[in-house]
Amino acid sequence: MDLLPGTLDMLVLRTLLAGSLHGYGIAKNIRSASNEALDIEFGSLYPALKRLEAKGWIASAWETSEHNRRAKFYKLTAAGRKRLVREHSKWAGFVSAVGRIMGTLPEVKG
Amino acid sequence: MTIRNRIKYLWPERRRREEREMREELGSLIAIAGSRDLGNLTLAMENVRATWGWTWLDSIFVDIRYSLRALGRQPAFAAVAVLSLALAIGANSAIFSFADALLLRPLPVKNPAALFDVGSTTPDNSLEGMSFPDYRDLRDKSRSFSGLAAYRLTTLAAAANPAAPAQIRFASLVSGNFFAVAGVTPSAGRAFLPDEATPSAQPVTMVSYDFWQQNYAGGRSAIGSRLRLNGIVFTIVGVAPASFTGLDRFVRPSIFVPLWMAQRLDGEPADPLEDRGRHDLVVKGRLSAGVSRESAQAELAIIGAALEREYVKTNRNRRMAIRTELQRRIRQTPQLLALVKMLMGLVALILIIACSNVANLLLARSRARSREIAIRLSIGAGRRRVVRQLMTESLIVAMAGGAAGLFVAYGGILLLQTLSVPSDPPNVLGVQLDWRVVRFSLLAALGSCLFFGLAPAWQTARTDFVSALKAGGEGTSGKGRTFGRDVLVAGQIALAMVVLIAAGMFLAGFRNMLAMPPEFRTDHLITLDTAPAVLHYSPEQTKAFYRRLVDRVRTMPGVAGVAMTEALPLSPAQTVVTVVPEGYQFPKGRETEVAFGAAVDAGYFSALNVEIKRGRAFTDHDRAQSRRVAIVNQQFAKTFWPDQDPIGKRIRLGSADGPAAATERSESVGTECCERCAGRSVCFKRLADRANCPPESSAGGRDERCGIMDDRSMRTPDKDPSSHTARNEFAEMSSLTPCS
Repeated sequence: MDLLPGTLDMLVLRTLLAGSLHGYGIAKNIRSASNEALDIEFGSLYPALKRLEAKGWIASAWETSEHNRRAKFYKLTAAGRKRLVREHSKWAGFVSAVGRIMGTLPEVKG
Repeated sequence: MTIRNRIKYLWPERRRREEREMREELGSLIAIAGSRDLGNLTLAMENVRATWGWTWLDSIFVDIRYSLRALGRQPAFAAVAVLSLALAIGANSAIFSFADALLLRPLPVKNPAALFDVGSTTPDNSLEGMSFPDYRDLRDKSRSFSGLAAYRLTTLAAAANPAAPAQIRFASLVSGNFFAVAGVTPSAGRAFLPDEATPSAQPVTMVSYDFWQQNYAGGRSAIGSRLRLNGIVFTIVGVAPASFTGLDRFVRPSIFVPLWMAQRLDGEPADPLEDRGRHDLVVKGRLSAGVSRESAQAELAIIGAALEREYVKTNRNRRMAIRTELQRRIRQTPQLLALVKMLMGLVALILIIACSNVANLLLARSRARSREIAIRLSIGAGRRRVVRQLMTESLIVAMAGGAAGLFVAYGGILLLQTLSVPSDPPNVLGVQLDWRVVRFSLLAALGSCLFFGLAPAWQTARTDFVSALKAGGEGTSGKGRTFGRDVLVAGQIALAMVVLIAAGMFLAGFRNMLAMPPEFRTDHLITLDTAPAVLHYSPEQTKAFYRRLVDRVRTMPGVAGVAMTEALPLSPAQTVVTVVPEGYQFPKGRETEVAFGAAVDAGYFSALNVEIKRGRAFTDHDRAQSRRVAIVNQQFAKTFWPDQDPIGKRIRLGSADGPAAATERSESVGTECCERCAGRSVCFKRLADRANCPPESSAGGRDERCGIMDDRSMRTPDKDPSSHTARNEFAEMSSLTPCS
């Protein structure tokens, strides 16, 4: 399933709310949390991470992973949290508005 | 990304650090996940770099490095291309600096584009100056200008102390607000104060930066020290900055004096500032904010019409006109505009030839490079990208040519600087290598890069890379390509012929000028400028001085003849007189014509060996009390009295700047043959009757006369001691140095 444009940033922020992760971990996490429905290309996720970092919404630091490997871990900053709250309410408003129009699909005569 | 972050990334070290960090991070992830799961990492990195925002800059550096390597591999090509561009751009820049000095350079004031010339015009003369009363009325009534300044050029005898010999210097008599309107701040001391522009003030003066350096070695003590100008003691209050060379193209005043001092400096009986008929001031105005030139012109028309109603005698048919500095210069010297256009056109042709030369070289080279380009295209480089790469190469060649061209230009400028107009004090033709010339060179280089680079680059990038690779380096050599090169070569030869023919014609014309026999004798002549008015001689003293001067020169050993005139033939300082020739039908709207005129004495024509074609020369019997007589040249006679006998015709004669009342009736008694004296001219006899001719009657209120001595025995002036004696005697008599 393809992502709606502009939702990737929000997904990354939401994923990092649970705790810090490295780049590949974020991709894996989004995939499993969506029941494999959203398969994010790492190639497009990685530039998004750098963009969010440059905006100051996430921060990165070198840490050691559970398998004792060094990797760069990303975590949410205070500004990122605020951003997430805003994005979330916008998203919820959008979903309910679209939902009210679409509703459940009635019988459509072909 | 914020601007601040973006600028941080401009620093290459920062980008290198990020790059290292990114590669390390991705390396660690490959170790965790394996590269297959991570997908296209090259693309990911490329995308990240794009967010830094400076990939284009990096790629430009890459292009430049690559271009330099490519040029380094073909040094002969690079050298020929750069050399031909350098010669062409150098010639263009040198001629540009010449054109700049003659016509184009803006005034050395603050915001020169906002400073306009305000002149008065009559149907006979569209370039007249303004009288002080007219200027004063305009200044007080006008609402369009934030400031209106007036000035006039003159020469003054300047001496730092009574013992020092006076130097003749160009000076500017200026209104009190002159420096404020120009927006020029003194580099030392201060500008004139408002109350120093009134006659009750003490005489104060400002000097130019050069004068300050030459006479006071740039010392602070110059401020407040005394300077004698025409024998009057002035106090120096300020020094103009080095960048301010006055508001005229060819004259750089050394001294600035308040306008109201004019009467005392020239020793005139009446105040010239109260003479509404004396149109000798240059007026410059700065428009107020939000006022257009058109509305200023409309206001000037109203004020001019009001002055005409009020002062019919002096202001009849007189209008005021606002012009840009360039418009004024073009009107003043339309022949210089023609010269500039012609020279710039010729050197532009040379630049076009050089560009087609380089384009041709590039086309030849593109054949040799087609395999390289084909490989780049086949591994995925876009054609646009290849064109950019090739254009970078062209740009480097052009910039190198432009930079080397500056050296060529400098050589040309040094040559042009040796051109000078003989005058005393010396005039300045400001041909110089400045930022305007450098900017022009860079622009010329940029323009020529587009001209010679674009077509070959596009053609190269259009290479059909499959066949180029197959052909093993020969590439496509279709008819179109060789045809294009043939056209270039043919065009080059055609243009070169045009330039060659034009240069040949110039040269031939110049040689003809030199070979043309002068219609007066130029050998064995010594000329001498005198200015008795500088020493405040009265008319009687002046008359006595000239009589004594002529008598003493005549009795000197080796002197064959002596003559006096107001203006030497072919010298830059010519007096223009208005004439009304008897019986001449004027074109509609005109009431007078102008001609070069000079007062001469009875010995003039014989001393200069000018043949009188018809009629007679002046004699000592032509005096003020007798019939007024004049001699016109053949051009004058042909223009105004075609197919008629000029002898006995009458002319009404007056100085072009003078009041109408000063005209006198003269009768033409002879025609001379001097055709080279730049158009029609008329000589009238007045010098012998100095007492009837007060000094202020000559234009500009100054009294400069030239003595001419014909000394036929001085064959080898350097070895003959008498020539030195003659020179020394001259110098002693007038306390001035003789000019040649």
